Amino acid sequence: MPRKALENILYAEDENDIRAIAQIALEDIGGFNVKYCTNGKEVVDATRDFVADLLLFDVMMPEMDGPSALRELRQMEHYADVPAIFMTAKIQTNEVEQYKTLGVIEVIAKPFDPITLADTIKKAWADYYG
Amino acid sequence: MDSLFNWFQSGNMPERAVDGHYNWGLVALSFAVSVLAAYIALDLVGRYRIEQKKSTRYYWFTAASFTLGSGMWVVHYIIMLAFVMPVTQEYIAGWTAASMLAAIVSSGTAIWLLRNKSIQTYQLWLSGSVLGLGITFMHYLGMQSMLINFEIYYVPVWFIFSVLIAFGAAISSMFFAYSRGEPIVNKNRLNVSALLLGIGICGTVYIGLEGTVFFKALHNTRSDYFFNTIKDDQLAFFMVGLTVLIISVSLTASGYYKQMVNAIENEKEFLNVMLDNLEDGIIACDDTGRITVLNQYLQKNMDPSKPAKKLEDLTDLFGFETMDEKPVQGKDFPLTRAFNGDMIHREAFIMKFNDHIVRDVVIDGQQIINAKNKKLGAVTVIHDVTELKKTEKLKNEFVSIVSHELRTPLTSIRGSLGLLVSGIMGEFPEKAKKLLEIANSNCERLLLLINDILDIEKIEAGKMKFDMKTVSINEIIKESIEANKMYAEKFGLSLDYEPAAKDSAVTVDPDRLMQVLANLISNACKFSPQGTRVVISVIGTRDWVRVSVKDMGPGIPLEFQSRIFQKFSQADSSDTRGKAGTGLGLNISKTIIEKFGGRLNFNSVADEGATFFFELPVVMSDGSALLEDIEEEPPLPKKRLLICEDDDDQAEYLRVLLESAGFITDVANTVGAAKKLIAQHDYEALLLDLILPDQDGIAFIRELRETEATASLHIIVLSVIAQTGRSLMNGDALSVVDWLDKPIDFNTLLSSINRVKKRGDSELPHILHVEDNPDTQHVISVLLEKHAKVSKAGNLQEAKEMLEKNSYDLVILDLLLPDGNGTEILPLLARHHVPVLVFSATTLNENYAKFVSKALMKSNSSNETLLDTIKNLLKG
Repeated sequence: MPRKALENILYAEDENDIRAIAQIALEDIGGFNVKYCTNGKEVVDATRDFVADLLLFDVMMPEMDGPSALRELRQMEHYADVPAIFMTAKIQTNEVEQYKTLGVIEVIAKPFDPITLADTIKKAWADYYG
Repeated sequence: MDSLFNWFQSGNMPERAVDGHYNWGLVALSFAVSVLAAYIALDLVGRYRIEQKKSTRYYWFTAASFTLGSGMWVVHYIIMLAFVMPVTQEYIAGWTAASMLAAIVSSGTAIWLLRNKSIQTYQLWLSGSVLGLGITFMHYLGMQSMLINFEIYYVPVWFIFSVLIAFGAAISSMFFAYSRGEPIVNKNRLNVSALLLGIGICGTVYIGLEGTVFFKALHNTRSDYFFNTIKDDQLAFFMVGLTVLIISVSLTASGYYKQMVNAIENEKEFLNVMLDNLEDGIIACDDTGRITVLNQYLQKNMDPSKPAKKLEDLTDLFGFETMDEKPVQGKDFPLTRAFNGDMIHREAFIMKFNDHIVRDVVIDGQQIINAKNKKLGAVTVIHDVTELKKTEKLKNEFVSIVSHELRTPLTSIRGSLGLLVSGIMGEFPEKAKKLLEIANSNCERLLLLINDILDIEKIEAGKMKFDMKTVSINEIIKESIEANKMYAEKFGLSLDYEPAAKDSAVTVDPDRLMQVLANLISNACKFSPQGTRVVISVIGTRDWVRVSVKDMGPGIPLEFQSRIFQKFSQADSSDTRGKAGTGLGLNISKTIIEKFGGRLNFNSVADEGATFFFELPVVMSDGSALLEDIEEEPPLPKKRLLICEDDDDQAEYLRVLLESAGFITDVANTVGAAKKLIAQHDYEALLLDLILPDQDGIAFIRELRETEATASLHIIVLSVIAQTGRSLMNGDALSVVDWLDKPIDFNTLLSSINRVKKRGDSELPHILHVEDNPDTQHVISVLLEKHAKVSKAGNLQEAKEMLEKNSYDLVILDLLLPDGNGTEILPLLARHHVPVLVFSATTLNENYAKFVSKALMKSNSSNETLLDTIKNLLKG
């Protein structure tokens, strides 16, 4: 796969406040182009007109949670290989192990540090493609 | 043959035969008594056979023999009475007694032959034959007793017939009752057996009588028996008495039996009710696989229509599945496994009754084997852990919720504050910035608390993972101080670092070690008065590195010290205002340090502060570098050591090395010189060669141990025969710190000396206790065990001598001593500048008050008061 800079992120988070903070962290600090969703359903809808380089999902969301959304996207041809990151407060050992079985490249614990969030994501991206 | 022929009197019949007739009422009675006696006797035999207790067995045996023997004898004489003849009947007492004896002895023998649980066929034959013989003898001996008024002739055919009846009835009766080999004879069979025996006894007598021809004696043929005859009415009385006796034996026996049965029933009921009331299921079977216990817990969940008789039936009643939901069948069924000899220990299963009742269970099971190693069956105990599992699940859910629900709002708060504090959103006025920083750091702390709770959860579930790396302790501490500086400043405190001269490498999970340091530092901060310092210091030896965090707070209350590492423990809830914590930190820290192979502990002095320290094993990378470490950083600076060694070169070598390592050393070439030096100085340890010119080293050790002043002196043996010496001192090994072979490895020697420090009491204050009562001496030494080294003096003279030799930090003085009043040495003590605690049963004269720091009365001082007083005095 041709190496390309990380640019477009599809981000799902149901909490407005957290989304607002993440927006600063991802756009202002990270300089990414971000598509925002509030649950898994919206993610599935968003895939129609958004091509993401990376998926950043919360786990617990109403209607459709992060893991379900990821499974759904993996069925789609152009989303089958897009690297995914979960950013969640559910980080007990067994929970994290479950995420790993879904093939996520990184699990970021909440509360996250908005200052370093972009760097963390970039590093995971670099590790994945490096 | 002739005598037998005479006995039958064949062919020579006189013509004076007497005819008798039967009293039919007595005939009926004879049958009734006969059958009754046989029945009671056989019943008693049954009890004799099953009774376990020896004394009671003996009782049953006697009762059964007596009942059967005297019963048949009574029957015989009832029949004699029933046979009415026109001549007065009298009986010769001797023959009467002989017939009774024959009856009882034969009965006893016959019953004794039945004593074993399992009876062989030959035993039945034998027992029946003995009884048959007894019946025959009893009857014909009885007949002999009638010879006073009669001459008697027997018709051989009838005689043989009567003997056959006796044997036949007795043997068939025995076979009927006991040939099946049952331990307890079935009631109906017992009845038939008794009937056979009873009729047999009567039959023998009646047939015997039928074959007897009586002739009236012309004169008293046996006048010599004249004085020993029994009249028939006397006999009747005697027989009634015997019958009453038999019946009372029988009644007593059945009363006793009933009591016994009741006791067994009660015990059985007790056990059953107990088993039924258990919250656990219990199934047991006997050695044939027959189910003997199936308690209420199981029955209430089972289909009542299905029987549970055999092991194999159980699978129809309930099923087990392993935790991964595979059904357990056949030989794997828990009780079957236990029955076949498996030991089942706390294995988890899912238990299903009728498909709709599902329980989580943990099973224990094993064979039941008695003291004689005989397998009696098997038992399984099914512990129902369904509720426990539910609780555990709820707890896990709760933890997950706490984790998630608290973290979600915290994510917003921390994110917002972090962005604001970082300055990315522009600068704020100084005051506003300060507030934002406070909010931010408290937010961080809140996060720490949540993490603590989750950590404890992980530790308890054994799920905490460690990412071990070899790192520099110095770096980690510096990093940790940097990270906690802000926190300390908030309390108006400074964090001071006193590093070791050389760094040590340790293998730890750096993040977890940072967590421990943060915990210790934040605890120290919480309890430090404003403006003071929290000192983090490191000292290292070759093997260990100790990191201490010392505060200048109030110290840890004594009553809290024992609970300090428990979960959710906090010293005093009223005292923790503004010192918010979870009470989990120390528990977590201790666990983490222990995972690193180290230990975490504390020292505390009231009003001076607490020191928490942890020790970690040092990773050996380069031995020479480590030796340098030690030389630069002596483990025991300014401690005095005595080297007792006759070889000057070796002594000099040790002296140079040890002095360069920071010790003061003295050298003695002989035991004599060593003794002199020991009397002059207080040594940290004695380094002793075993082969010395003037005395054998082992003898010297023993001598030192027997002298009180040197009893606790630390000794390190350095010798080419160190191992031999060790075996010589076997059993007294504790008195010597270490046994080192020459040539000496200096690192090993240093670590031995270091152990002296750890084990040693030289840092403890030294107290002289002047007291003549051994009980008080003992109490004080136990009380002060951990706080001071106590030397004892039993009288004034001893005290004076000890004061000349050693210096003490405190003298505890009794006043009434064998050789004078304690006040006599007060001026001497004053010259030594030693604080004095008078602890006596008498009051102190006021004149002496100026010499004494404190006086306590023995009668009204509690141990606590005493200990507190001593501690205060020691602090000076």
